[in-house]
Amino acid sequence: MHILYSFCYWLGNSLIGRSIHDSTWMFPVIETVHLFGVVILVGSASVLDLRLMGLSFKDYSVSMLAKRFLPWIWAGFVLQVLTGFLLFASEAAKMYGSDVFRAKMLMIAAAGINALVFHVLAYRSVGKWERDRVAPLSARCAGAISILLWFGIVGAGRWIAYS
Amino acid sequence: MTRAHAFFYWLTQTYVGQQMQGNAYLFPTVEALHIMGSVALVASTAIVSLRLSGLFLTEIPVSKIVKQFLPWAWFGFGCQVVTGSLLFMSEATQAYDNVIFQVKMALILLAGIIALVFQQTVYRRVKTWDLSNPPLAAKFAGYASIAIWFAVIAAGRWLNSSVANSPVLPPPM
Repeated sequence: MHILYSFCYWLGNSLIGRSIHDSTWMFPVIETVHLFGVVILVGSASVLDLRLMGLSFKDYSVSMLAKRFLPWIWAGFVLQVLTGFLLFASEAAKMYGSDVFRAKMLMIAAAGINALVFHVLAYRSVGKWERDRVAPLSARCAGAISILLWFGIVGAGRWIAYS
Repeated sequence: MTRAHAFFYWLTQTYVGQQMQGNAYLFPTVEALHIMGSVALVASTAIVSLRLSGLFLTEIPVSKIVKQFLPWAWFGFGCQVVTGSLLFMSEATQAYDNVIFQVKMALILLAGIIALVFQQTVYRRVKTWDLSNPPLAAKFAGYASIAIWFAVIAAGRWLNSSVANSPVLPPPM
């Protein structure tokens, strides 16, 4: 048996997995908090992305927006990892076989890699261009890729319930 | 009751209502768009509200934050009205007399009233407190609107299971 499947099977049958699965109210409540987290995470990330793309908030410097919104992005991300893990635990074996779930996880990884690449490349020289109303091409691309991935992740999240 | 019921039944029988029920991909797609719209609407509203409460972006004038984020809030609201109407049309007869649906609509109305009263009163004098500690009324409008909009999301999530479990009423006589 595949080790990842063994883990999912174990998690689904653990106390946490079983409790959420067997309770009538726990899943909807955790899912509601997961929806709150979407607003915090994707909303804050979108503000930065729109600024990088040069579509909105051009009066503010990129580093000022990053300083103000990154804590909210991280807070939202942690909330999503925690609530997402609990939702996953309640149906882990089922999620193992879900293509939509895999696509969602791959898109989250891609969004992380995109943010990392942006951070070590374009953001290094942010002092030179942060007040420009149009950011360098690599920053504009990073913003566009990020916003598309995050909204794709939200869409995939809704589709998991139907897959 | 029966006239309202006849209207909502008619909605479910329109071409759009039928497509929303019959097409297996349409409902989840519109639902996904409704969640994406909630990000635009609630995140922009929350940013403005946090600023009004004096908790976030306090170095930027209130009027500037309102000017920059309000168009996004309206954009999100437009998305929500369109996608929400489509979702409603697919199950109008079950939704309209559902308590959670009524609570959700009442909360949206309440958020609108608070925003309107705020705009017509405290916000008229925004130039006098643009960069200083916001007046109590502005702080209250900020806290209330954040709480209400997140409650609207929770009601929406709850509505999903509640309508799915409610009986389908027969067509009106």
